[in-house]
Amino acid sequence: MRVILADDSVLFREGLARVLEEDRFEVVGQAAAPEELFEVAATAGADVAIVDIRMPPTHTLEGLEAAVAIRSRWPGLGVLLLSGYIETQHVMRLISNGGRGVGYLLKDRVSDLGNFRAAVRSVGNGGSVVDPEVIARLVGRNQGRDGLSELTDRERVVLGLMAQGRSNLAISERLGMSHKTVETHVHSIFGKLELEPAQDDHRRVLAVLSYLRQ
Amino acid sequence: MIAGAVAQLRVNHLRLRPGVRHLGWALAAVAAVVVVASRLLLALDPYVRLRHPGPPVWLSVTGDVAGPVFGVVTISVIGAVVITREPASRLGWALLGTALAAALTLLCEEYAIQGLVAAPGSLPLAEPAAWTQRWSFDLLLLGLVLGLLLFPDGRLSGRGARLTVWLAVAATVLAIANSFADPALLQTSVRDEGYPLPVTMPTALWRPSSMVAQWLGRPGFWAQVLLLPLASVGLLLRLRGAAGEQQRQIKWVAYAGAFVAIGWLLSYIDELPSFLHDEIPAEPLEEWSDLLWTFGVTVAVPVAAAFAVLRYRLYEIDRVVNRTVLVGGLAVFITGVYVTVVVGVGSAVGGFGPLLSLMAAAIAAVGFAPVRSRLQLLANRLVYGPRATPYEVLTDFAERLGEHADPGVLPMMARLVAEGLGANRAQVWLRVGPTLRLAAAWPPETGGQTAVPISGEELPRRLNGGRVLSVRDQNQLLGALEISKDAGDRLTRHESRLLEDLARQAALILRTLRLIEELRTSRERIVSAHDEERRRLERDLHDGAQQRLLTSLVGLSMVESDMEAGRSEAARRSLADASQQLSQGLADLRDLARGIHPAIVTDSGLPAAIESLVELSHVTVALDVRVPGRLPAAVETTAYFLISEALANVAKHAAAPSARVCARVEGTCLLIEVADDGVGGADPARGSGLRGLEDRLAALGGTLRINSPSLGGTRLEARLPCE
Repeated sequence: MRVILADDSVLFREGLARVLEEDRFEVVGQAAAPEELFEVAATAGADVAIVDIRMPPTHTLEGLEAAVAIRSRWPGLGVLLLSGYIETQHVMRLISNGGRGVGYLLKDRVSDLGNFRAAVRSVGNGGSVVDPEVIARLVGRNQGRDGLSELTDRERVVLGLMAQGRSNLAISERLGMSHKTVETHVHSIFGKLELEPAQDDHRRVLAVLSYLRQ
Repeated sequence: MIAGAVAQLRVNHLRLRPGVRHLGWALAAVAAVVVVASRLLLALDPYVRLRHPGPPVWLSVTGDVAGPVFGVVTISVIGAVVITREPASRLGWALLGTALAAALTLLCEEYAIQGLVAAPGSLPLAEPAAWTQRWSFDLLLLGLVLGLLLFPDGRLSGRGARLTVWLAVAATVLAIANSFADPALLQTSVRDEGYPLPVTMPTALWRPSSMVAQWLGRPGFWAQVLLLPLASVGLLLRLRGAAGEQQRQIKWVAYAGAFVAIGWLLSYIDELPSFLHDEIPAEPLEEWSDLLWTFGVTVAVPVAAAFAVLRYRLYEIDRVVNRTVLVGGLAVFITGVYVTVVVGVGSAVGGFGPLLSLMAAAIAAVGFAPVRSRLQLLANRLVYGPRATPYEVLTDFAERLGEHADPGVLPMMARLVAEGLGANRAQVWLRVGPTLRLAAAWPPETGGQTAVPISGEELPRRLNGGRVLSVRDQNQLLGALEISKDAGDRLTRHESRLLEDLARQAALILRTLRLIEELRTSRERIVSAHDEERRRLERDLHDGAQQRLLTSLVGLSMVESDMEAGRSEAARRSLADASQQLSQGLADLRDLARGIHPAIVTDSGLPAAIESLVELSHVTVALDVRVPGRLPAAVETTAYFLISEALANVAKHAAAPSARVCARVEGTCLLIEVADDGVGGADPARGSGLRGLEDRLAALGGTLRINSPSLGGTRLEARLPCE
C-alpha cells in the first residue's frame, strides 16, 4: 500500500515512516506544508495520505482544509487526518462531503502500532475510521436521548465500533461473537434509532454520526 | 355613479384653482391701479403744498406718494402670491383685502378732497366718496387685524385668536353703523390726522341718530384702538411657541411692527404735555414719529411680510435685529448725550454753544465703547436668548458637562457652544492618534469632513470652514471647537474671549475622555496580549514538548516491535532516539515554565534572576545591579520581564555587540536601564512586546522611556514605584 505523510515535524514523519515501512507500507512521498502535499498527491499515485491537522502557515486547521480539498480533487485517495486534540466538528466536516476512504484519529493512536496500521490500511481501502474518543464524546452528549437510552449495553458497544468505521466482520472478531449476532444487533440499533439500514460501512458511519450530531 | 360625481367634483375643484389664482392677481392689479390713481389725484391737488408748509418736500413725497404706493402694491402682490401658492389659505385674502381697502380709502379720500374742498363741484359723486373712505378705512383696520392673526400660515391659533376675529368683525360693524348715526362732519381717514370734510353722513340728520352715536361711538372707537395692539401681542405670543422657519417669519413681521409701535409711542409721548397741562403741544418729536410710523406701515411691514412669505433671507432676521438694536441704541445714546448737554446744560448756563458741543462729543466718545458692549450684550440676549452672557454660558457649561465624562457629553458640548455663541453650527473635534475626528456637532446633521489628519501638535488650517479654536492641555492638542455663523457675522471680541474660555473648559473634559480612551485601549491591549500569550504557550507546547513526547512514544513502540522481531541492534537505536527525544522534551518544558513564570525571581530575588537572564543572553552584557533586599513580587516580575524582553530585542533587532543593564533603587522607585550600542530606531508603536511592557508598567504606576535615535544605540529607562 502506497502512503503519503504530511506533517511539519521531520522527526515525527521519520518515526511514522519507520513504523509503516516495517509493515509492508511504501512511503511514496512526504510533505511539510499543504502545497507540498498537493504536489505529492498529484504525482505519487498513493492509496492514502496521513495528514497532520496543524500545518504552516498559521498552524491551526490547514491540515483539515487540505484533507477536505484532497477528498474532492482525488476521490480515490484516502485521507487519514491526525490531530493533537479531538473536535467533533472536524470529523463531521471531513466526512460529510461523501466519498470513500476517510479517517480521523488522535495523534497519540500512532503508538498503538497494530491498530494504527490497520486504520491506515482500512482508509487506503476506502473504509472509514473515526477515533473512539469522538464516538465516546458524541454518545456522552446524547445520554438520555430516546433512541439511545433504549439500546442495551451490548448494542451500545456495537454502535461505538460501528461509528468508528468497523465492518460487521471486524466487530464480530473484536467482540468474539458470531457474524449473525452482530447483524442482529446492528439491525436492532438501526430500528431503535429510526435510521435507514445501510450496508455500506462508510454510509453507516455517516448515518450514525449524523444521528449523534443532531 | 357616485364615484363619477366625485371625480367630476375633483375636476371642478382643480379647474377652479387657476381661476382663483387669476382672481388674486386681478385684484392685486386693481389695488395697484387704484392706489396709483389716488396718488395722481394727490399730485393734482395744490392743497398738498398748502397743508404741508413744515416738512421738507422729500418727506412728503416719500410719506404721501411713494410710501402708500409701495405698501399697497407690495401687500397686494404678497396676497396674490399666497393665494397662488395656497388658494385655501385665508391669509392671502386678508392681505389682498387690506391692500384693496387701503387703496380704496386713499382714492376716495383724495377724490373727496378734490371734489369737496380743493375744487368744489368739480367732480361727480364726491360726497359718496367721502362716505366710502370712512367705511373702507374701518375695513382696512379689520384687514390688518385679520392679517396679523392669520400670519404666517393662514391658520387661527387658539380660542383667543378666534375671539379676536369676532371682536374685530363686531367692532367694524359697530363703527360702520356708528358712522351712519354720527352727526359730526366727516374727516379724512388717513391724510393729516382727520382733516374735516364739509359733509356729513346723509342719515346723520335723523333725530335718534345722535343718541345712537353716543351709545355706539365710544365702545366702537376703543375696540378699534385696542384690537390692533391685541392682535400684535397675539403674534408675539405665537413667536414664543414657534420654532424654525415659522419663528423667523413671525420675527420679520414683529421686527417691522416695532417701527410702527415706536412711532406710535413717540406720538403719544409728544402729546403727553397736552394731556397734563391742557395746552397746545409743541410736539418736538412729531417728525420722527411720523417718519417711523409712515416708514413702518408703508415700507417696513410690507417688506418684512414679503421676506417672510417668500422665505427670502428668512434666517437673516436674527442678525438684522441684533444690528438694529445696536445701531439704534447707539444713535439714541449719542442723541441723548448731545441733547442733554447742549440743550439741557446750554439753556441752564446760557451760551457756550461750541464748547458744549465739544463736551458732548467728548462724553459720547468716552461712553461709546462701554455702551456699545452693553448694547451688544442686550442685543445678543434679545436675539439668541438668555444664555448669551459669557459668565452664564461658562457656568452652564461647567455645571452641565463637569461631572460627566463619557462620549455622550460631546453633543451637549456642541449644543452649548452653539447656543452660547449664537452660532448656526458648532462642532467638537477630538484628537485620536494622528487624526482629528468630528466627535459631535450641533445641529447634529451637519455635513462636511469628519476626519482630518494632523501633523504634530498643529491644528489643521481648515476644518469645515468655520472659526476653529484648538483645545489643548499644556501644549498637547486634545481637539478643537469649530463654530460657524452667518456669512458676514463675525465673532465679537467678547465672543472670541468666550470661545477661548469654553475651549479651556472643554480641555478638562476632552482630557478626561482621552484618558478614558487610553485606558480602554490599554485594557484591550492587555486582554489581547494575554490571549496572544496563551496562544503562544499552546503552540510552544504543541510544537515542542508534545511533539517530542509523541515521537519518543512512537520510538518506544518501535523498540517493542524490534524486540519482538529479535532485532536487538535496531531496538537499541530506537531506544536511544526515544530517550533523546524525551530529554529534549523536558528541556522544552523547562524553558516554557520559565516563560510563564520565572521561578528564580521568586526563589532568589531580582539580582540573581537578572544574572541568569544575562547568562542565557547571546549578547555580552555588562551588569550593574544594586537592589538590596526584596521588592514587591509584582515589581520584581515586571522588572525581570522588562529586562528579558529588552535583551531579546537587543539580540533580535539591534545587532549590537554588547549591552548594559543597570538596576537600582532610588528612594521608593526601582530604576531600570537597558542600553545597547546597536542600530537604534526602535519604535514602541511597532512592536507588541514593548507596548505590552508599557501597559504592564502603567498598571503598576510606572513609566517607560525609550530613546532610540536612528543614528544608533537604544536606551530604555523604566521607573517602577515600589510601594
